[in-house]
Amino acid sequence: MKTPIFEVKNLSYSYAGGIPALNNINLRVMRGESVALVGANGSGKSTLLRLLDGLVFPSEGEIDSAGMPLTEKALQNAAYSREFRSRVGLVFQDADVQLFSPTVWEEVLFGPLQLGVPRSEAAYRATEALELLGISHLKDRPPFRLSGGEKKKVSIASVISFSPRVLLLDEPTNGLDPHSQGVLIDFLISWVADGNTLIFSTQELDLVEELSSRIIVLGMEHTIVADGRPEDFLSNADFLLKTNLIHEHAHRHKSLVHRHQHAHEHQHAADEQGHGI
Amino acid sequence: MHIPDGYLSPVTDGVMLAAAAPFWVIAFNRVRRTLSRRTVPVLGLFAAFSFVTMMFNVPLPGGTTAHAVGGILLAIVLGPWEAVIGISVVLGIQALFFGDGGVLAYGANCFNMAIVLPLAGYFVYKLVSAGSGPMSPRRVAGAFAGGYLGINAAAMFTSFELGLQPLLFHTSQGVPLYAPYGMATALPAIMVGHLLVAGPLEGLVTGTVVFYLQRSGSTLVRSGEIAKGEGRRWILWGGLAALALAAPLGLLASGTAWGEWGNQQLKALGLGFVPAGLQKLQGWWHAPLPGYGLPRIGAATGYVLSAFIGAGAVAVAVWLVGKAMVGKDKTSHPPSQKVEYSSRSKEGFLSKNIELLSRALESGMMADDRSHDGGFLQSLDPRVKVAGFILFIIAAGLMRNLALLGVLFTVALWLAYVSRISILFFLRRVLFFIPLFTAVIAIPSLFTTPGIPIWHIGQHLSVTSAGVQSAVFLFARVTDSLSLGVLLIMATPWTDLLVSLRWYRLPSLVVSVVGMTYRYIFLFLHTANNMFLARRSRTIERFSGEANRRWMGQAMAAALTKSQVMSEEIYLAMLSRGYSGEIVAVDELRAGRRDILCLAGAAALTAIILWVNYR
Repeated sequence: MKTPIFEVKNLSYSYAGGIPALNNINLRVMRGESVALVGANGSGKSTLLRLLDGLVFPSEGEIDSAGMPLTEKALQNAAYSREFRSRVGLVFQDADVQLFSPTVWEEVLFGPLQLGVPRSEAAYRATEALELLGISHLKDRPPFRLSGGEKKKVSIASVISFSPRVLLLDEPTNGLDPHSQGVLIDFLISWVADGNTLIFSTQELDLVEELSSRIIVLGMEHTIVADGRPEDFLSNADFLLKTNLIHEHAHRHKSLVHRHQHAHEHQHAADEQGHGI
Repeated sequence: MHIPDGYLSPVTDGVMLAAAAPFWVIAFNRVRRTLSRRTVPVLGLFAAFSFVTMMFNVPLPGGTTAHAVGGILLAIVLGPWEAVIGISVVLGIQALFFGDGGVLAYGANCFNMAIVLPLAGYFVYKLVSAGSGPMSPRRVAGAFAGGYLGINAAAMFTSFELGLQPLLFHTSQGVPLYAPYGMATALPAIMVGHLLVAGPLEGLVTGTVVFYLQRSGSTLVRSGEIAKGEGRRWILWGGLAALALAAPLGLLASGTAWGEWGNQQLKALGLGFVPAGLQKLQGWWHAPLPGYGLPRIGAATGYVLSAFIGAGAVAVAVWLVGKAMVGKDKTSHPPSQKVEYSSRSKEGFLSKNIELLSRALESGMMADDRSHDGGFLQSLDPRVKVAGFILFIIAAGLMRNLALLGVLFTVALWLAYVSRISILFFLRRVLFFIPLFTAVIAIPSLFTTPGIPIWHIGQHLSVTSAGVQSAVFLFARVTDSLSLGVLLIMATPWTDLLVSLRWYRLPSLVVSVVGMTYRYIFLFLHTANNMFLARRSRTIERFSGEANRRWMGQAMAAALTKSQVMSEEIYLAMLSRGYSGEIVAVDELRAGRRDILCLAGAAALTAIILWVNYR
């Protein structure tokens, strides 16, 4: 049997002060999977990504990555830390946190240089990452002269540049215009097709449909309430409603007011047929 | 309190830099130990916070606004040594990137504001709050007292440095070469404002923010129990500081008892104009206060009194000129060169803050654009530029010949021209505030400098030739140094400046902190600007000054907590990409033959100018 990329066993995590963030999480992610983490605000998605990236550590339970325990102590070993950090990259939700360098170029070079990639090779990879996201023209800009969408792309480039095999993305399409979203989704689809692993958190069910082969739903009790193929869950309206992923509300279509759930493209198509518009 | 170049002799600058150095070494080693791998994000974020809050104008009773330094606050929440590094970084960015405070005077400015201010303030805070719990009101009282006394200690050092200049550095005819006022004028002129306005404000801001941090249960005030042994160590430090304070005074008072300086000594200190006015004053005071025997007041008391009045006159003059200038030309006012205590604005303090913050943002973007324009200076290696300009600024400091100061200014104009910087824009930027301010400062010295009278005003006042020389010297020197500094900033992208700082053996840790500070200053400027805009959008009636002050206190406490959270996030983001305590620098500088030729040219010009001057 192949070794999983991540194996999470009985994991619980509480913030300082004892506020629970995750409760008894068990999951296994294999190479080449594209996993969507969904759940309402405060259900623990970001925290789980940080645990998987070895930035914070479980209060209870354990995480193995590629067969090695991922602990604070293990990461103090320089060789292991370098191997793990080179293999796994995390794109933070807040691009302003991720972009701390004086210019875009230094930002994109930060990862490879810290991870010991030789200078010329690092420069080559950084150039490639900028090209891949179509932002080569931003190279000499300071971060405060970037738009929200540009910041997001730079933060992704700054992780891609050290060629991780596992990408953790926290709300990747947040604040992106539809065109940039499309570019990013195309990039991620081809990236996964190359045999890489993707785990991303999102609120957008459209993105789950387009990008993921698997969905993990975190409930309000900070536990996993569902884990499986997206198509099995996204059609279950009652379930989505119960986990706060959709919201029942009233709105107007032409002169007709109706009441339904908010993830509803298919329903509208049906409505329109039904009403004969 | 930012001393521009030209007010202090290069010798004083050197001495102050040397005096600051050991503190930096101690602070550096301590900070590295306590913050370890978090040093860069924590200091970077908190320094950016201080930079931005230093721009906030807080409404004062009476309708004016003023801004606080916030250094003592930094010392209380982060620790005194962290504050030393943090404020030094802020002052460096102000001097290098915004042209606020001199380049050569950096050591002196750091000594006053980054060393004396947080250490003295923290010492007082510890004394007052020793043994109290984290939620105790005594902590708030300590913060107020620390803020008040810290800033006044810093102001006192500033006035010592300025006051010593005419005593130590003058021509053989007694013409002061740098700051023209002696101790007896400088001390009260600077201290009055700080004892009465800046001190209470700093105390208020520090105390209020600590209070709101306590209320929100922030870890910034919850941690840091005060151990008993620590208190004793701080008393030792306080004793040393008191000694340091007393030393320059003792130097001046050598041979005479306190407060009994005779006329001769006072003349030597650069004050000569008061007797006539003072006699009148004594007569005037005689009537309302007959019982106090004022006619018999000692010469020293009299001089201090008159110095107060002189200081008041200068303050009024500066205020009037500042008001006239701001009214005329709002847009060209550089953001960082602001009137310390500016006048009442029609639209209230929110608008003033919004304007200040957006101007700083704009100027940052403009500097970024301009520094990439392809002119002569822009094409040079930044290390060459830094070395060349520092040579020129030192030359400007050492020159004793007005014509040569003129030559240097012409060189600066020529460099601006060949670097495609609009001369008009350049002149406005350079001449607008600091030299004008200097001119106003220098006016009284026309009368006070002892020498041959050349022009009489009324019966008792006369302009002396030495006075004119001294005033013109100060003005020319300040203008020269400032234009050189501004030129360097305008023609160099700040990331290049950072790289060259690293090349000049500044520890890479410091350079990284500076880089991160600068980066997050802009984020905080944006956030703060939005905060003020949101406040304005919800404001229908004008809030009272008291309500606005309270709101500012809360907002600053919240921002401080956010800086803490964000620094931790950034640390994680760095960790995630392989950071392990040392940032690998991206160095891509290559100096060519042309760069070396230019540096040689700058060195030769400096040498020729100084040779012509001193031969």
